[in-house]
Amino acid sequence: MNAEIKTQDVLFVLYSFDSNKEMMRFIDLAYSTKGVLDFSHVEIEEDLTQVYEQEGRVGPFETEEELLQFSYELCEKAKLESICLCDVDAVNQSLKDAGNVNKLNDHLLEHGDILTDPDRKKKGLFSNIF
Amino acid sequence: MLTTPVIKDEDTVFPGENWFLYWKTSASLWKSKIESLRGVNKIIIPVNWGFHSDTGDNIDFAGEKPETDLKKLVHICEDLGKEAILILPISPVPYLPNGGIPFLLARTESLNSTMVFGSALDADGVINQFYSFFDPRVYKAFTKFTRELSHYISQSGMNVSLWAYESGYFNNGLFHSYLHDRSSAFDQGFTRFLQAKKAEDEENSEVTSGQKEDSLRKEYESMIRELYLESIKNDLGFCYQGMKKIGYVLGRPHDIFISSVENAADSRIIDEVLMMSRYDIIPSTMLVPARLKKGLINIFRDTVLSSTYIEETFEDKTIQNKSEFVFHPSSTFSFVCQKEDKETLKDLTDSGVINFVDEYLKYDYDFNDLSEFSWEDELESSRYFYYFTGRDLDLRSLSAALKMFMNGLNVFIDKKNLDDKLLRRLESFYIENDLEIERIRYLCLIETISMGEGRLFIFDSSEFEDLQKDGQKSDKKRQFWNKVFDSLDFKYPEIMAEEGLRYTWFDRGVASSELKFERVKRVSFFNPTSYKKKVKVRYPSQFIFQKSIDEKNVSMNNTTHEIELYFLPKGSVSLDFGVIL
Repeated sequence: MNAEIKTQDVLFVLYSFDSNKEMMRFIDLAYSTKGVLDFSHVEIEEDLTQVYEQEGRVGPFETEEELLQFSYELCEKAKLESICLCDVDAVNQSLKDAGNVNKLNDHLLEHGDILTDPDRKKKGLFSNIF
Repeated sequence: MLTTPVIKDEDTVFPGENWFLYWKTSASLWKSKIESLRGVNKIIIPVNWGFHSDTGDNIDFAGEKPETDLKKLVHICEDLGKEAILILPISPVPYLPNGGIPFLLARTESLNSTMVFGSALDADGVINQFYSFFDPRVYKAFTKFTRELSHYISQSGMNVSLWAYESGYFNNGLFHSYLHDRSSAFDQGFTRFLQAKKAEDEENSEVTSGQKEDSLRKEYESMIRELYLESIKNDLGFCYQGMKKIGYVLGRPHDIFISSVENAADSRIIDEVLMMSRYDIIPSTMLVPARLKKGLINIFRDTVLSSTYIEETFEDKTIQNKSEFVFHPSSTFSFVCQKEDKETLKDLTDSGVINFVDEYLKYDYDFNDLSEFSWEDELESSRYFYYFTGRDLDLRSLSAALKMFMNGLNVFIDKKNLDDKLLRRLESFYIENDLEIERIRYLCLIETISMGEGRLFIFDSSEFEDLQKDGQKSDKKRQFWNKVFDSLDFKYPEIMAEEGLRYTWFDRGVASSELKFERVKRVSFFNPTSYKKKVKVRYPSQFIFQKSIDEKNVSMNNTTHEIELYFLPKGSVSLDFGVIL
């Protein structure tokens, strides 16, 4: 685990691939110590996604970049410093290792991808795209 | 952030809903614990397979661990004048390590539909991971366990009844079983299942579309569920009573992560319990941390998940002991359908009936599974309306619906997706009985037939699809249902509750001193918010206000046919009405 990252500064983004939808990426859950992000209340500036309120998840994201871009937007809106992006393997490993809910987020930080300073990264990402 | 929970011993062994977790305390304390449980006649004892066997092979019933002595436990209950009810799972359970299976059998992790490990958080914050019930080793060991349990019960002369149960959670109007699994064990079995299917029917050789594969997966899952159930029925048939679905509050997969950052709100707990009870799923608050089971939630549990409710849920199938004079959850309106079918749910949503009933008869409706529905049982029921979906009807259930109407009940049939043969059967029913049909057109053709007290109401909601998609579609559907109910001359209290308030209905038969009423209805209100809230109840002349009970943090203003309630945070109250139909 990155010792500099504090749990309260992190937006945890859990995503998976949907085999019924051409293996597109979907964000299943996003939360921080402030609480769970309600996707139905998130305004999506870029026309990247479609919100599936019934399923309670957001997607589809065709590429990793789209997923990242959206996660950065979420992070920015939540006024958090870092994102912990967790795919299914990271989630499963954390569930296995944690044993208790009190340790779960520490394990997610250990197994997920930590992305810090969303502003800078976002700019970097856009400069790569355009 | 979470605070350190202070868990009382009684919460550990009695997690709620009359359950007693015998492995959580010493056998020498069983008697004093059970003795301390007042007002409970039936003790629900979940059989902990993994506690009786580490390996799946060697099974302990009082041989090594005294806490595996079920005979002693049942006898203690009998000595204390209580009935012991054993319940045995046919799926992973969320409150036990490894989902309840023996330690050495925990080899193939169960995976949910997003390929995340099946798991749940127990009340102590422990993450319990599930293992696949599709692993042949698990099934083999389970059959051995049921055989030995059968032998043990019959040899020890225990007079006990046993129920099978499937565990899951409730979300978006559907029960999701913890049996559901996409692990390698499932896939291997499913592949063999497909091969067998192909061998028996060449037409099935092309399983190409995702939809077809999904349906076959469900069929395979259902087949395995039946195998586990058959094992119980075959070995324990002498004490087997039936199968129940148990839904766990805070049992959704996401709740593990959400619980890491916030406590569940009271409203969330209340909503889950209320919804499950409407779908004939037994709600369990076992996963709710002890620190949340206090104040309003305790009042709510005592009101909605009372001992009487639980005891009647696990009633011996040969005994009709349901007391007419005790309040039961009320269902004025009943949907009779394949309640776990997404397409059925879509038809109900598209017709606008669910939205209407949810507003107009909020928490006074329920869902009955068509396959288990018996119309004869409804003749004495307090239900007032029955709604059948065309998609789910077959000849047997259509006949049942028509017989209900002939016996004086109010029946709705939506012809959308109704089979052509059944349409012809319906038309011949009109002719054979020389029925006078009133036909009205309002958004769709509506046929109504009256016979005695019964009313048959037939329409085709597929015509609603032609409504202009101008944003007024749902308003028009609401108008449609308003007109329908107006035409039925059905009077019902109007409840204007501020956002955040919750309420639910109960009813009971009348005692000899109340013969002027047909039924007595009770509405119980809860304010789970941290704000003051107001509600106005406007009731028709057929409803006679009798009394208010269990008032807590509430004040009341009663005028003719109108009651105003002012709730403080976490307030609650129940109002009783005598009903003249």
